[in-house]
Amino acid sequence: MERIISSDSAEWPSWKRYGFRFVFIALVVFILPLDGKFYQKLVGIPWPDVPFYDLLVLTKYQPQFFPPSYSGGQYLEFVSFWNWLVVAAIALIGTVIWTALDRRNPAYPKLYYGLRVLVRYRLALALIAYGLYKVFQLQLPYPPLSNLLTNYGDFYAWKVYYQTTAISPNYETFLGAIELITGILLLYRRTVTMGAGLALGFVGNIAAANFYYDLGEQSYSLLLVLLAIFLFSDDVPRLYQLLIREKLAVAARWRPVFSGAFGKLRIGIQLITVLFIAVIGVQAYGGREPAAYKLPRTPGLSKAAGRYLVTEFVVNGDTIPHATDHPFRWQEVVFEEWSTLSIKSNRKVTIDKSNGEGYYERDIDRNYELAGIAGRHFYHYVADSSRHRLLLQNKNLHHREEQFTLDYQRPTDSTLVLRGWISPTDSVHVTLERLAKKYLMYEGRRRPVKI
Amino acid sequence: MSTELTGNPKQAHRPKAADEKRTRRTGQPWTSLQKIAFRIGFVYFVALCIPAYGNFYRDVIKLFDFAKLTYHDFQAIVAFWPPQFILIESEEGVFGIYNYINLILLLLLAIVVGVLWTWLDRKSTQYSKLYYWARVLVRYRLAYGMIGWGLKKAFPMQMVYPTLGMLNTPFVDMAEKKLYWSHVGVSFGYTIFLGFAEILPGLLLLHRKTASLGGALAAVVCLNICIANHAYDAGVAVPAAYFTLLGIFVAWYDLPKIGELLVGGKDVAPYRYYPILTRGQNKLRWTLKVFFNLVFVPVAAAFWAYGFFNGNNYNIPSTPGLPNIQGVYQVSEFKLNGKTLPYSPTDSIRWHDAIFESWSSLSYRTNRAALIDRMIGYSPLRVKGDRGESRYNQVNTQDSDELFKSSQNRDLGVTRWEVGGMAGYRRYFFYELDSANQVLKLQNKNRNHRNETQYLHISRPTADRVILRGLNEYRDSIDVVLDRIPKTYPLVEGRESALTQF
Repeated sequence: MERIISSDSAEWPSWKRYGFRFVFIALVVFILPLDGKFYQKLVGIPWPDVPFYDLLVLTKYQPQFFPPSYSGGQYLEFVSFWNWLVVAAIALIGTVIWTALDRRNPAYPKLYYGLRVLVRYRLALALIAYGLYKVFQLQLPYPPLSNLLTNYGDFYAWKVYYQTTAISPNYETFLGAIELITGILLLYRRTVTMGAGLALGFVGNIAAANFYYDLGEQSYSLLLVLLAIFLFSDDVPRLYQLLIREKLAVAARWRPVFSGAFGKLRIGIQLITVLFIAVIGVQAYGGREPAAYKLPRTPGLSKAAGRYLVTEFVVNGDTIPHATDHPFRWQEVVFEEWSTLSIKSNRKVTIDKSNGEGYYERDIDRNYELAGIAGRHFYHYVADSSRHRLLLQNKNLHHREEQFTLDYQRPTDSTLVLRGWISPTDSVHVTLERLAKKYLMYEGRRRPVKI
Repeated sequence: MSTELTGNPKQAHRPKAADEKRTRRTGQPWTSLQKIAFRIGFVYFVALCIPAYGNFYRDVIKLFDFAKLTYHDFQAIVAFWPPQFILIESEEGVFGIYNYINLILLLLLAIVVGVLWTWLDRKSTQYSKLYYWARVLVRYRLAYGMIGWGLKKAFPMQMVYPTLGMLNTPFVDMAEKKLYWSHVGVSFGYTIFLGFAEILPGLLLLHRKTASLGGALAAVVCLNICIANHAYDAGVAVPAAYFTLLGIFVAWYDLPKIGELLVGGKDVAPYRYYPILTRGQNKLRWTLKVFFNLVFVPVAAAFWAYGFFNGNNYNIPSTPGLPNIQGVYQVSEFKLNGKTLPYSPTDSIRWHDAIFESWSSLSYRTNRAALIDRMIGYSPLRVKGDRGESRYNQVNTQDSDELFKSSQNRDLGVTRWEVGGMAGYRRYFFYELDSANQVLKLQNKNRNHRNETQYLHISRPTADRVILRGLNEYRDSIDVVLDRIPKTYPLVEGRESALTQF
């Protein structure tokens, strides 16, 4: 238990008192979940599954006074900054009232300490959740083959960023480990400044990338940066004194005393925190299903995964030769390891503007593989192996009405023949030949390879 | 290494600050462990900061050719590599994981010298003076290095926006290093941000009061660069680790005290030592400091700016293309020796598409592979001299600077971005127009296929149609009709754009 070494009863300058009241109210509103939606989410968590993603969402809490604005599935992140204005307004009004009621109070060491604890735990939980998200490679799943075969220009910037990081899963784990360590440092009083400094660098970089790549979460990452600045600021005068003025620097003196009810509360909070971290950690570990949860989990047609050239394409009896300008001739088909196949053709795609974030039970809703890219259509399929039939449905919410059935035959290991009606007026007969190719991304650039 | 501050200033040898406290060690001796650790560390870090290969000194002499100075010359000086005892080429290039052996060998050498020194030097009680000067050397070396690395991003040249050819290249046809570079280049703003993330620690290192902070920041930034280099085979992992070590050494001066203050909760005074210099020595110090700071900060920046704004971007060609020809074209018709070839994705002669860039470059895709340009940088060549072909290396392809200086067309030495690190299915040709005969002379930009040239007569009957007729690189006659396609790219449009159909 801590003892009071010396109480900081010195009077704070008035700017510090006003400033503290404002910051206290603002941060409490940002952090303490006063929004009903939070409790709805909390209560709505399926028990006993407790999926990792639902826990992650809890740690992403921010007050939402305005509903998020949707436009064709796109979450316009900048609406969230209007929420900040509301918080600032509340804090301003609160400061005025508080000042009026509490003019005589010389300083707020206890409240300041309490606020620091609140911010530390908030930031730590945010970083630990996202750290686990990356350590177990759930946030950035290894790109599906369809995504790897897509032209660079057909990606949104955020998807390029995600995909480039995802091709090195070890790097993703490394980044997650740094985030985890930073979060843990924040939980120990003595290492807070170190943790806050690291967080500032790490989350600062993420916030910058979020703005520059339209990655989303612009306001959330900026909030975390502000929390890190708040925590770090306590030691800035000391570091300035030591390094810049090159004089004796006085260490932080004020220590709280925890007696009776407070002592029990403190232990209770610490236990709950550890429990939450343990649970979210276990769930993150368990989230590594055969296809990490952003990708569908039903296995695809057995031994069909791969890239196929469309060697024959017959529509209503007419054979259509290879062409780059035909409005809908299939140019390439990719079967994924799971129950998705993609078809590349000249048919326009209304691009999915979401981030593919979220936990979805049904494979058809797991849209990460098509979020943010164009160039091909993605179909969820259900294979009926007794009748040799595939039921396809377009996964893109803008094209969901596209459904059709294809009968398949597999004359050889590398050939698939598909037959069916792709629209009420067009019956097709398609022959697919598997393409076995070497790719530079895998071959590497060190050997003098012809590719 | 703790000390008391004794406040007696001796001579005020700084012209301005009358109230700055000059401190001097008043003889509190270092422990034996501190002394031997210092001896080893001193040898190690000083040796790391002295260029140990001949080409460096050749590059210094090149600096005096004032008329032909470019930013490359500055970069060659500040980005010198740590000592290379053994050059091991591997799947990770020259500076991959095996190259750490050089840092380890140097450490062993430092230990040997340190032990010898301990044996020879029984009298010294402390080495504050040597520590001070070693730290000066290291922090200036690191500062100029960081600023140099940062300038190539602050004036985006290291990473630039994907070309039209790249926008039409599948993700998987690009090497990991290329993908890593490209994804930074996608955002001009982010590239500049990363540049400043390297320049800021560099600037902080130049002032003694902010040096520890600069060193710590540099160490963190360079550690990230080192890990990313290992993850993406980007080729300079060990030099980044080298900078990390230097950063830690600079920050180490203050780390124990900071730890005591923040983590240990004790009141501390900083460890400080400043040498007493005579007036003459002080003048010399000031002159050197101002001179080198000028040369490697604002002057270097000016050269980068000049290069960036005056068509010497080392990753972008500068010869303009034909007017209004830029775009993606569909190959409507293709005849080889008089015979029409239909389109097929497996055809290795008939072009699948054609792309004209805004500079004088034409590329087209077929199913024919090529010996790729492996996007290998200057690094090994600078250390041991041009080595020509070797198993993991390749001929220096990036000689745009030499071409620029000898007033030749630099574009054939600026291929790393446009061509390097990508599969050979798309071939890139530099073209020059003979306007009298309306013939394009095409030259393959891939150095491994530099002998491939084509002579194609060009006619442009309408704004969107180009007809090329002539001899291709295999001396077959081809007749190609190209029609421009209006193509839009999600990457270029951006998520916030109203355009959602692609």
